[in-house]
Amino acid sequence: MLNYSETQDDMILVLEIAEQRLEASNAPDLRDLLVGRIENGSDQIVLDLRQVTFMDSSALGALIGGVKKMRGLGTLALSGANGPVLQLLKLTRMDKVFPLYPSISDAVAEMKG
Amino acid sequence: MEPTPAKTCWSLERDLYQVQSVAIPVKTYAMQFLNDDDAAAVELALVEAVTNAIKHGSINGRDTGQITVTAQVFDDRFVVEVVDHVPVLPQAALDRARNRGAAFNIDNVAALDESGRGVSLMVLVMDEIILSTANDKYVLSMVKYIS
Repeated sequence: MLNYSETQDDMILVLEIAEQRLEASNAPDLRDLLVGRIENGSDQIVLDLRQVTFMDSSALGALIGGVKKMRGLGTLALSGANGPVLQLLKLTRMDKVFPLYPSISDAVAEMKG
Repeated sequence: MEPTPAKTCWSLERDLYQVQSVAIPVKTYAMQFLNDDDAAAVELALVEAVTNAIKHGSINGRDTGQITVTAQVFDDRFVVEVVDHVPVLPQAALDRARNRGAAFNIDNVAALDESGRGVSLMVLVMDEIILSTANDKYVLSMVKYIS
C-alpha cells in the first residue's frame, strides 16, 4: 500500500507521496499509481517526493515505468527530491530523464508555461 | 596482533516489508563512523543486496529461512555483510556490473529497463564488494572506506 494524496491544478495532476521510503515493497504500488493515472488520461503529472528520504532501484524502475507509459506525449516531473533521493537520481542520470523542480509550485508554474 | 572488531548482527525474514527493519538501524550505526553521504551509500547497497536475496532466493524455490546482516568497524573501513543459505547474488551479475562501469545509458527513454540497476548501484556506491562462502553459507561483503 502506498500513501499519497492527489490534487488537480488545471490540467496538471499533482501526486504527493506520503511515504518516507520508496523501495521494493511499495514500488509496484507506485508504478500502478502512475500507469493508472496515465491510462486515465493524465499527461501532465507532478510527483512530489518531498517526504521521501530513501529510494532504491525498484522505485526508480517504477518511475521509469511511468515515463515510458507517457511515450513522450506528456510530462512526468518530480518535485521536492532531496538528500539521498536526489543523489540517486543524479547518480543514475535520471535527472536527465525527469524534469526536477524544488517544489510543487515551481513545477506547476513551469508546466503551465 | 590487533583483536578483530566485534560484529553487530541483525536478522530478517524473507519479506520485502522487513528490509527497512535492518536498513535503518545499519544506517544509524554507520553514521557513527561515516559521513552522511557514505552512510546513505551503505544503506542503499544493503537494501539492494537484501532485496536481491529475497527476490531471487524465493523465485528459485529456495526460501531457506532468515537472512543475517552484520556490520563491523575497522580502523579504516566499515564492512557490512549479508549472509544467506543461498547466493545473495550471482558472481556473474557482479562481474557484469563491474564491467559496465559507472555509465547508466539514458539516451533512449523508450528502451530504458525498469529493473536491473541494483547490482550496478551497489558496485558504484561501495568501495569493495566481495562474494565468498563460509560455514556452508554465502557471504556478500560490502566495504566503505572511512575517510
